[in-house]
Amino acid sequence: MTQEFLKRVFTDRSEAASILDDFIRRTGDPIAVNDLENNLLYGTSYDLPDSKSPKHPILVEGETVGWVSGGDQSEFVAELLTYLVTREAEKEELLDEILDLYRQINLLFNLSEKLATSLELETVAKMTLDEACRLIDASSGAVILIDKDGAPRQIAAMGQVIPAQFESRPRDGIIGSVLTNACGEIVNDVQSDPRYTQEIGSMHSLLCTPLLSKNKVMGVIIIGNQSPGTYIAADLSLLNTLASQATPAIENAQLYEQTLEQAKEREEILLKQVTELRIELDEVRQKEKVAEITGSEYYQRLRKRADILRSIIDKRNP
Amino acid sequence: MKHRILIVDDERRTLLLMERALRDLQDEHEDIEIVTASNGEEALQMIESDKPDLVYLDIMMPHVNGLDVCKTVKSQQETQDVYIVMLTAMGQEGDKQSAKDAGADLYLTKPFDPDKVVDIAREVLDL
Repeated sequence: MTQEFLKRVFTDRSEAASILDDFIRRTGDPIAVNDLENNLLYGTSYDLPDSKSPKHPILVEGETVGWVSGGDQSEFVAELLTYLVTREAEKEELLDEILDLYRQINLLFNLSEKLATSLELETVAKMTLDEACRLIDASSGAVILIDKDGAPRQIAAMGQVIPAQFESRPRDGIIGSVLTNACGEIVNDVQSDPRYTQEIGSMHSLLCTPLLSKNKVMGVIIIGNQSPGTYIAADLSLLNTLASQATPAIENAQLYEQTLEQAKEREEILLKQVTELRIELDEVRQKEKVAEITGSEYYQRLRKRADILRSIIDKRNP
Repeated sequence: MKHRILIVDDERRTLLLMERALRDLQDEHEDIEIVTASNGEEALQMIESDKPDLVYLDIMMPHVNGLDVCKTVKSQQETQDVYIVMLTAMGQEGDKQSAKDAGADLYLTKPFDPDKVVDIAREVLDL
């Protein structure tokens, strides 16, 4: 890759090439710059040194990326190119870092827009986890919420799922430590950590941060990699940002879930009351019907006849 | 056929970042040429002398701003098919309408998403 930086120094728009031109014109020294494959990057075939000409390396972080050969000034030119290529490499690194930050800003912006439109707890948790794994390069993770009774509830999981053992001892291990201390952690060698417990499974390195609402821990988000890798402070900082964005959305979703649950309960109670009322109403109606029938003239006549017949039978069978 | 991309911004760091964002695409396709202009006048001259296929154009520039450049390019028959992506600061929603009114084909907010910049180039240049 560093060889590319050497080539870039000699691109058309490079100021370095024109400075070098100017310098060589003034000194009158023939100079040739070659890459490691001996391709000529600067100079002409006329300037190509014979095997006896001294060759001076262009070094970037101790690695040779090309050679300068020619006249007396070739050593100085090699040093100058070493400086320019190093600067080019540093510039590229900084640009990449800034572009990564731009990427993160856009992803966070998009995530907050998406979170604002979702009221389903599982969806909110999954969106957060997906973005975290994408932004911070993780192969697995989970969003775990702690209910009022302190019991954990896994809302979303990706890759390796946190096993059920965690549910019985939520305050143990690395996750437990984050829940207790309300502080995010980077663990780059999980299996050597004294707090290692099985719930982490075969994660090699992990990031775990609390979901904090008004200084109260409502859960954690944990992501990790099964392959060796090193998380840095910037990764944890990014996960903290994601967690702080997700927390209000999770709270809203929980509130919505509770409201739905309460509405459902109210509806069930109401249905039960309506059913009971209906039964009572039916009973009243039946009583009214009976009263209506027994109070009718026809019924009274029948009743009289029945009484007469009963008295006749009684007389015959004393 | 060579594809030409022009990036126009008065901020040098934006030019560097846009160029870097597009460099991987350029490495994939050697027929892509990326050129830059640091103001509106220079951009118009470059568009007239060697028409680009795609322009990433900043709105806020001194003298001839991006909107004026866009209007001029889109009003001329020879250049009206140049695909213009306007760039402006995040949250400046009013600029979105101004860009549309000026004839821009697309609108991107700064800080721009590097992946989106590359996706647009792929689509416009049919790569």
